[in-house]
Amino acid sequence: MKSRGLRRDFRSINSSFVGMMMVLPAALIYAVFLLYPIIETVLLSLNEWMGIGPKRFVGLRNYIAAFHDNLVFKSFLNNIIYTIGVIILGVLVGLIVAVLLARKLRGRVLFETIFFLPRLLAMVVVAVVWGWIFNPHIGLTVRIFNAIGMKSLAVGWLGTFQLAMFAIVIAGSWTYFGFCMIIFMAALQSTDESLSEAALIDGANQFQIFYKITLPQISNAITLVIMVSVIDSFKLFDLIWVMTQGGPGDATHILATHLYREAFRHNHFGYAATIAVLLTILVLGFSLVFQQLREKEN
Amino acid sequence: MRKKAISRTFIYIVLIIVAIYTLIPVVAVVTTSVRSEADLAQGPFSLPKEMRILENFKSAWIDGKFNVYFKNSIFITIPTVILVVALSTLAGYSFAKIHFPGANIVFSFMLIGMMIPFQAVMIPLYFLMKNLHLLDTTLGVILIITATSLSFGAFMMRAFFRGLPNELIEAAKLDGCTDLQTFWNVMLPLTIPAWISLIIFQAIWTWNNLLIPLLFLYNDKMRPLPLALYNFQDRYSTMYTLVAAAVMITILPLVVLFILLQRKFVTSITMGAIKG
Repeated sequence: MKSRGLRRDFRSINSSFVGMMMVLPAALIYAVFLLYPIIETVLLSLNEWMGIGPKRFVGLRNYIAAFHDNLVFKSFLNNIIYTIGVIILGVLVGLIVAVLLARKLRGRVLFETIFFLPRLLAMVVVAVVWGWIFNPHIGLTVRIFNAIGMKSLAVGWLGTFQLAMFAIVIAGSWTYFGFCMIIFMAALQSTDESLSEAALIDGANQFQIFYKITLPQISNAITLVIMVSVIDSFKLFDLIWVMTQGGPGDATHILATHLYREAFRHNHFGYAATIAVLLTILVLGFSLVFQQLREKEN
Repeated sequence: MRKKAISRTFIYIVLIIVAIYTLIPVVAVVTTSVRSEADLAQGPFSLPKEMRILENFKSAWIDGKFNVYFKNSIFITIPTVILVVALSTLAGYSFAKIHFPGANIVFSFMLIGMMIPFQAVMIPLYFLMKNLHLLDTTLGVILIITATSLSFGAFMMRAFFRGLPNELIEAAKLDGCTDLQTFWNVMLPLTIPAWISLIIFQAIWTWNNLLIPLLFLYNDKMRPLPLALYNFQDRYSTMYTLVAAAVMITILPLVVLFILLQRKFVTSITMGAIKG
């Protein structure tokens, strides 16, 4: 009896050891290349550092500077503008398309495939191609607005202060709405059809049915997609960096491009780390809200 | 009946408008990539006067060195995918089925990575890579992309293994299998569907990544496709036919795979984006 218990103890110790060894490689790479740099970023944000030589501790001075930096404010605002734009153009279009495709239509799979395709492409590709469409020389927008006589819009959008951010939103939504469509289609499939049928018999029209019956049933999916949009928008970098590098002037900087430039163009590593910390707090906050909502849904 | 036909027409009109919005950029790339430089002035939506498919692709592939960049992308993507899938599977299995002391704490720490934007780590990472002499190496890029992907990978594989019944493990143990034997002989053969999802997601994310190579690779000879495309279009921004051919080279592998494995692609990309 006793020896058997011992053997079991040995077995469970052995098992714990195997378990740890299986996690170790992943945990090690993760700790060295992700966890440790997060701590370093926070420490760096309290220093002034040009990349070489000793760091100079400045306390919270970088944070005070960041709160007085017009470009930080403007970048944050552009993040918000991009988020709202993508929610309108991406999420809303995705929802409309999903609702239309929820009926049994001919060509449904073809439409789905087409709408989802842009999600596959690298942001660099999206940026290059939409850069052409807004290009002042060969661009499609120039041709179209010239043809219909709206000369003020027949310019290179990416070089025009008031239009550049809008052009970026159009390109960003283009890669995004197909993804929203897929989530909404999944949600729509699990809605209760008998409710809408009953309403139809009671004489409700299609819009009433959608607004009063379908929409409440997929409200969870809508909240989730909006949260994902917010988080993704704040993580955005590639699209804007390739399309405009934050220009013209500083019209299209977002927090991520602003901090990239501060760090790797101006060598203000401490200050850039400060913006990185602020950006991280924002994303982390949104993510925690997102997790809460998901848990509530499950 | 007539009302139904009208609403059906309306639906198709909306869908077709959205499809045009979706396809305009795609059509622009495809037609531009087969045109001659002189033919560009008529814009992207006319039939090309002469087809120069081979010439354009050849000049992007050889003169533009996209053969090198293509190879670089493969040499970054394949090892990264293997590394992420292997390490995530090991860790995920352990988190789900072995429960060693402290497993939950380690797992919670790993979850943080899913919520952290890359910007939170990129500045110290740059100096860390420099000190480790991993700057400007393919290995460095592979390690960093792996590190940023492990949270999600371990999370996903853990969820997958939790879905497998414990009876399987107990039966295997009764038959005298050790932990490793159980993992290798009983569990692994069942993970293939989960692997396919993770492989697709990881391959797309690695293949398309710009920021990590932009930060850590300077040598032109080592650049993967997105970074090469970014530099290429910066330098030759007006050579549209050439850039279009380069874009085609960059996107074709994923587009072909997408057409072959459509459903799988859609689910794994969607699942990946929901990770938050």
